[in-house]
Amino acid sequence: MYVVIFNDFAFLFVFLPAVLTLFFMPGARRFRAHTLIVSSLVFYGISGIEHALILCADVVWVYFLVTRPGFCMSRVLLTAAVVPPALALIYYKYLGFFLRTFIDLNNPLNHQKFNLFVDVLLPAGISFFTFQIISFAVDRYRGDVKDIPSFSHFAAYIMLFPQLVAGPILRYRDVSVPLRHLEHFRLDGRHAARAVGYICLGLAAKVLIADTLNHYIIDYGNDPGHLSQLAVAYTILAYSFQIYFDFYGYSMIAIGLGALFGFSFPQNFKRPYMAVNPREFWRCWHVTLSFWIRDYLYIPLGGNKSYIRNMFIVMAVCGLWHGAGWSFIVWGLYHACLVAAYHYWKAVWDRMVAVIQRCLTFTLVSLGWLLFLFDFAGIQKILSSLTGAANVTHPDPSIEMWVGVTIAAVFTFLVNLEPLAENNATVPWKVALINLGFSFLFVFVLLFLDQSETFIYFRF
Amino acid sequence: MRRVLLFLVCSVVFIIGVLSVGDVIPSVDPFDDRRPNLAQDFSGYDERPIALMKIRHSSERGRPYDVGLFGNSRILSVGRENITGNACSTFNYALSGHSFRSTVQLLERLSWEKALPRLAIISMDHFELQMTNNPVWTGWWRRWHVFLGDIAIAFREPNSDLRDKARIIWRLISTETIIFQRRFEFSFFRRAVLDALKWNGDIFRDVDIGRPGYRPDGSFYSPPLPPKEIAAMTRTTPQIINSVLRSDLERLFRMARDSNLKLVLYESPLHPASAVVFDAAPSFFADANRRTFLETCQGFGITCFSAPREPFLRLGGWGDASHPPPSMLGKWISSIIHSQFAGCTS
Repeated sequence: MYVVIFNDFAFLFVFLPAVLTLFFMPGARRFRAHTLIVSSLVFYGISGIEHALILCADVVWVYFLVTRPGFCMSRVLLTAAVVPPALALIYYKYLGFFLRTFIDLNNPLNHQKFNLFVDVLLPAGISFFTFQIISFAVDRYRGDVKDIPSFSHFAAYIMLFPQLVAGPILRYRDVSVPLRHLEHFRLDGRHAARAVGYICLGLAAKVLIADTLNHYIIDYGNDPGHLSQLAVAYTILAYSFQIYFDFYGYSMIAIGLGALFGFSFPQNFKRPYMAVNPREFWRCWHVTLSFWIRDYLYIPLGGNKSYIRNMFIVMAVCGLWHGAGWSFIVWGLYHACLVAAYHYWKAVWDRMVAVIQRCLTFTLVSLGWLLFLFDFAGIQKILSSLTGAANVTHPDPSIEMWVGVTIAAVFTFLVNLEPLAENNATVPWKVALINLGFSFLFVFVLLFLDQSETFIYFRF
Repeated sequence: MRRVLLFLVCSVVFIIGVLSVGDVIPSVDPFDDRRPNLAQDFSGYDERPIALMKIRHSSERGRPYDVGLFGNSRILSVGRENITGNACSTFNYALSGHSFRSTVQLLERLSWEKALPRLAIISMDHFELQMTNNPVWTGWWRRWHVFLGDIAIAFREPNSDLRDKARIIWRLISTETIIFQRRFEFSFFRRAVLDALKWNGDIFRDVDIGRPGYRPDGSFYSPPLPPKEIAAMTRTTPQIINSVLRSDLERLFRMARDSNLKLVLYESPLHPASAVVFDAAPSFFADANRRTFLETCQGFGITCFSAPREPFLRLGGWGDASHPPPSMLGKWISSIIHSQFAGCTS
């Protein structure tokens, strides 16, 4: 299956210039929303036409219902609107997992019987756009969306290709104003400079840091049961940075692409590894998902009234959102435990100096990522390696590998990339230097693009 | 907007720099006759620099080769050791993944450099496999020149429809994309920069015995393959337009006549399992292409034929259904050389 992704020559040199040309074509201002819809469908449809059809069906269905008179405060209509997209998500993402949990699918007879529901190809980003669709329906139901957008604006909001497959998860209020002014949007220097900054730094984060770390740990990841303790420590550290720069890079590129079309997407990361406790981590990591869960799940469950119970529920759901597997649920519950533990021992934790708090938070979070990297059997193996009980067959990490992790650590803890990405310096020599640097970085990234991997969050 | 313009201008300059530096070839000649005929490591080089190195080698050699083998991977593995029974000096000019069009370009360039062999044996893809026909190793200006020529031919061709034009355009896009991306592979770029700065020295190290690599006779050595069953190929639709093929043959003929070059063109053989299928029921396109090929050659008096099946009946050693083993192909080519040359002098 071929997927158009941001770190791809076809996207950077064919798709994006073509869309920009159509979008800004004189005389076609009225069709800008349509241009975005069609280009997004092409972007998405290349990975599978049936996936694009599901997206279209979701959009048409929800729009049809939310525009019915009396949708606001009608629980029946709200349920009718959100159930089909949710069922599509369940069918594609979770049904196979549930069946595997309760039925022995290794038995060929069972496998044949449930053939239609297992090994289904997951549409990229279905979790993201389903959440976005649900958020719109609920906001409309609650009366938070006063003016119903036109169909083209609604479709553009859901399908917008810069954020379609891996977020940020947008609320309608994030894009309603730019969508209304789409016809009059003029790409000025501020927007374009911002786009350049975010796209270049996002590509660099993904291709130069995340993909390099992936290259380093791939052998360790494939054979976790035969590692030295140092190699295990390296794997934990490197994967922690890899997943961060992978998703952070994607989010930056999405923000940059959004700026090209007049949108100002919310930040998805607020230096999460600088968080001083597990609760703060979730306010800084994948912010748009955290806030979605807070507004549409945690608060309806009763919010802080039953803090611990609700925390465990939403974190389990958060884990399940990331992937259909017990390891993801355990990962969610692991984070729930961390947050609950912090809640109970807050007074002790907060007395520690900030550096220790950060180190502890980072270590605990990094250990949790092992559940993303391995299944339970893999976890068992890597833990046996960690205790020194393994028969070591892989060499220890080389100096080059440690340099890679050190660079990632420097950019995580010591450098704040957002002000640089904004690209709004006013001193002439700084402007020249920064943009010369961006162009060098862009071309340097191109030299490694052929070895770049798909974004990790695409599979969610 | 000035800062963005600065970014765009600098990026374009850097990109042009990366594209240009890829044309640099090392000062060392890996095809020097004095080198032992062992496989060498060509990592970081694609067909463009390899073609340029083969051309430079021929032009600096001083005297022409008796026999030059031209084509693509289907003949590339035939080395000097496979050409038996004569004293002819032989060089393999074939370029992997290249089309007949690229071969014609290469011969024109050799002619211009006055470095043509005396006899050129050209392997053409089997007409069921003629999928693309773009020049790949040449510079972009040459490729675009050819593209415009092809489009003009497609408009003149009475039987050409919109699909033909679409195929020509798609082939150009596909070729340019591949070339562009290749130039941005870091290993390729790194090698090119080191060559440009002359920091590489002689980087063409011999590979370990049994490993693949280019040999000084221009051929590409691949270790012999263990016997394996090769199924008949799946049928595809060949995409060469007759008039484009005819125009290439005309150019080739004119060049050969002006340069006093003797030409032999043959349609590459297929594995017996595939040959049975395709010979029994050739596709309409392949049939038309083959007829054009044979009739045009006959018109110009060039020796052209489809490879007979008999010399290629042995099943072992085939890489796949269209890559005959070099020993088998070399033996058959030797018989062609024998029939064309009374005796080689070099």
